[in-house]
Amino acid sequence: MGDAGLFFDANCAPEISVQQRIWALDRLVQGMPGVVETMVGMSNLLVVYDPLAVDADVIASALKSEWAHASNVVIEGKLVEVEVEYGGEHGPDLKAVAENAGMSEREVVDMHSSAEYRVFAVGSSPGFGYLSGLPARIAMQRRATPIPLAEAGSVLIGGTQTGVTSTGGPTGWYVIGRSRQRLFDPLAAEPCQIAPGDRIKFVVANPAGGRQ
Amino acid sequence: MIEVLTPGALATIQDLGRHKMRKYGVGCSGAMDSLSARIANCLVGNDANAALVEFSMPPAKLRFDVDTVIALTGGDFAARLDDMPVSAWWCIPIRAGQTLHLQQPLSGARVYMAVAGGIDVPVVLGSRSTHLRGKFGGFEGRPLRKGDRLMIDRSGMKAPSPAARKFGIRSPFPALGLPSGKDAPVIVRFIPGAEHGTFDEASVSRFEQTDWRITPQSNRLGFRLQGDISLNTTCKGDLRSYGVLPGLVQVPPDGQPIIQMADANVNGGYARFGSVITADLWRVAQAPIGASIRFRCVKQAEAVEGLRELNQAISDIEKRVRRATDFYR
Repeated sequence: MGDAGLFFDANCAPEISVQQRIWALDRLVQGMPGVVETMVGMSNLLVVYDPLAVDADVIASALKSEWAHASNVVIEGKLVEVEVEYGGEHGPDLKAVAENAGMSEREVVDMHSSAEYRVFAVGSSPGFGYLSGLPARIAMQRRATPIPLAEAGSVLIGGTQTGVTSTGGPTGWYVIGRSRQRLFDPLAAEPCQIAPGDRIKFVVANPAGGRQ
Repeated sequence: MIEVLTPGALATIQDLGRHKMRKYGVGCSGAMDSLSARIANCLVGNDANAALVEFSMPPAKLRFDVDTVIALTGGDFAARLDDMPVSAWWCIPIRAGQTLHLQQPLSGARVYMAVAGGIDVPVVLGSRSTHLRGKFGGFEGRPLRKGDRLMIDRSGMKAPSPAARKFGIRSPFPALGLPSGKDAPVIVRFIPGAEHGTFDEASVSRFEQTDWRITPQSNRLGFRLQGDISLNTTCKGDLRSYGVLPGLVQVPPDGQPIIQMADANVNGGYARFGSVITADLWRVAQAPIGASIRFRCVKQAEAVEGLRELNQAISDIEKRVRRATDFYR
């Protein structure tokens, strides 16, 4: 991509086996001479490098050979629990998602909070994880027109994906709840609580903020 | 201290950007025109990466309550210090109580104001640049407002004292081939992107002959262009999400390209026609709304050579300025 980025594409759907290998490749290229940073995408990886320090071909061939090794690296990831206040003022779209699924709001919440999700990639906005593992029943096609603002902490469903925001911003996804936790805090010693390969569980919080 | 009397539209604090934070979903931000930012800092004796003010649209007015030295680089916004016109690319001694006024956009799209010592804002995630979406960095994570008081970092004060003589350089823009007239298109070089091959022949062949006008929906996130052709790709729907770098030329379904800029999202899903080379990003940044861009396709080797030449041009200017500062000190 341009003169300072190399784009590695596995050229297939982002299934867990492929994505696992992308995460492994991402780790293997860290610290390679001339590599500045990387960005995990959906079954692809962007490697940002310094074109004055290293030739693009050198990085490209290193990526190819590391891809072969990448299949042997297994990334377990850590488990991150996210407390969510579902529905009501915190999740104005829970009703629409329930209607779309032909379920009660309670059932949607149970389904959403009992699944375990995998962080496939981090991006879109600071600390936002692209999560896989949303039960197909509660998937919902994205809005035709994005809403101008989903507040920080919004728990969203968009297409077959779900996620929680750490910054406010526009979204084409549906807001089903809100978390008081922030997975991203620029001032914290550890600014981002999630990394590709991590696992996420959503936990139902009572309105006072504690667990039920 | 510097008081903001009128900020103009989207005046922000920037440095040379926030790097290595993409893994957190945090893009680079930073001065859109890093060439002008670096030279502004150099003129007042700062490190290249010191925090400065990026103005996007006058009128803007600032009042200084200290003696200091500033430099204005980039575009020409008809600057006046009290009632005296001041030149861009010059080092300007300021006395406490004076007011700087950027009156109107005469050329370029962004003006950088460096202050000796740099603007004193905290470093967040390795940079003083404003991250507008994340509301952090810069001055309280937002554009400047009327009444804001900017502190000056006097700890790192080096070269010219406030008593320094006035000196400056000629604008490096003409020598670097940036047209001064409003009608001449800005020529920027690009490297074909991942989906370049999916665009039809007419799109590919006419892309470089088209004057792409910069629409009013252009800002620090990206420049939306409009031309008299539409770029057609066989790539339908969103692609699998991929990492984005500033300069990326994406084509959404309407066929009108977008150049991703400093505040671009870290990832995207539209077809990638190409990428503006790093050495030419400042040219795009200085092209005002309504101006036109013409693209020229190059290979990686020319892009890298262009970056070397640009860095050489900047370091030549830095050397000349340092010699002048030593002379006047």
